[in-house]
Amino acid sequence: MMRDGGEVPAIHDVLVERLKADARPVRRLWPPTLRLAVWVALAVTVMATAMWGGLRPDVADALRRPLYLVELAAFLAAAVTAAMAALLAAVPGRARPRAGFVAVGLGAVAVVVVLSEPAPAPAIPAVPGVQCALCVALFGSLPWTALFVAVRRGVPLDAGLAGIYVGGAAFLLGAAVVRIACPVDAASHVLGWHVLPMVAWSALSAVAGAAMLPDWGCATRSDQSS
Amino acid sequence: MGEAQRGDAEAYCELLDELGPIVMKFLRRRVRDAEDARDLYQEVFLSLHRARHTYDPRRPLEPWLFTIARHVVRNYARRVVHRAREIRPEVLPEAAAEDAGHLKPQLEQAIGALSRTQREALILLRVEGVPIEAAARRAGTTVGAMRVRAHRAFRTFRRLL
Repeated sequence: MMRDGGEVPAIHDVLVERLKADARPVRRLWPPTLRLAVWVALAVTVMATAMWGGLRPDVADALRRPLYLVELAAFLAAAVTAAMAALLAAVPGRARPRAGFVAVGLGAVAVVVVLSEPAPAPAIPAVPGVQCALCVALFGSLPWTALFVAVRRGVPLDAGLAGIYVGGAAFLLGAAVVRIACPVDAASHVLGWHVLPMVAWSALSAVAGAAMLPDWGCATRSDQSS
Repeated sequence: MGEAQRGDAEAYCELLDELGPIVMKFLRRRVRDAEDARDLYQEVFLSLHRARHTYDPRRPLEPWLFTIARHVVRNYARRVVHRAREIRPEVLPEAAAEDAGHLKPQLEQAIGALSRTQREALILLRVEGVPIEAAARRAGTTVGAMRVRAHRAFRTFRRLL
């Protein structure tokens, strides 16, 4: 069937009629930067709540250490970049793999700083590592839910990747919060009980993304079944 | 598209009419089988419809549209590879294969001559014995289209066997 601009299949008119019949107004997605701003506001609230709940006893000394500040800044910047990558991944044509690489790079910077920083004697020697790992999940859970819902509202064409971004953003934030609350600076503790759980939760988030984000692989199927 | 997002059906209709040839050209450049290109055309339009709330009218339409179209084509390529691995003459029921033992080379040739959608129709309806409504649902198409695919598949079979 020929049209002004070229060939279209015979089904075109029926298809257009069908879509036209369903052309009800839709609520347009906010721009990714605005959605990111909302998420950052939530992240700040979570951080403030966590700090109100309890900081490491030597927080004043820790904040005077430049490497500690660089590490915290790298964790937070990685979280925000990953959140941006997640929100962009939910808009067709806007996905930026580079944002994901930047987030990984910033996370790597944080890890390198952890490894290079001489650990001062802990103010409280015994902090169970499991508690830190669970706190990473706890502080990351609300930002994760919010970001997951935001991404779900869009069109994440690669659900697994979007899930990783969401998990990375939320649990990097969780790791940053725990870093402010946990008095242990030993690299083995930070890597084993803050960074590794963050990676593990992010991997779980990828699974959740693949399972729970809408499947954009078969539009016809899902459209007809709904 | 901005007007379409606000529910203006006429503007939406005009937009889809404008996009039709662009989408078709895009698909024909990437999909060899004309029937598959027509199926994918539907998929692209349905995806575009479901994703219309994500379009930002301040930005150009093409990157948004072609990302969706490219995604549909990529999934199609994955499905083709998957089916090529999955659908082989060996999956035909044993009894039928025995009955048609002497026909096996022709059977293979006939199956090879079918398009992906025809092969799928044949497998669903004749090998798996799925009712036509359920087969259409599984293949992501209408009952009428499934009938046409099956008819074409049987015609090819009759011609080759």
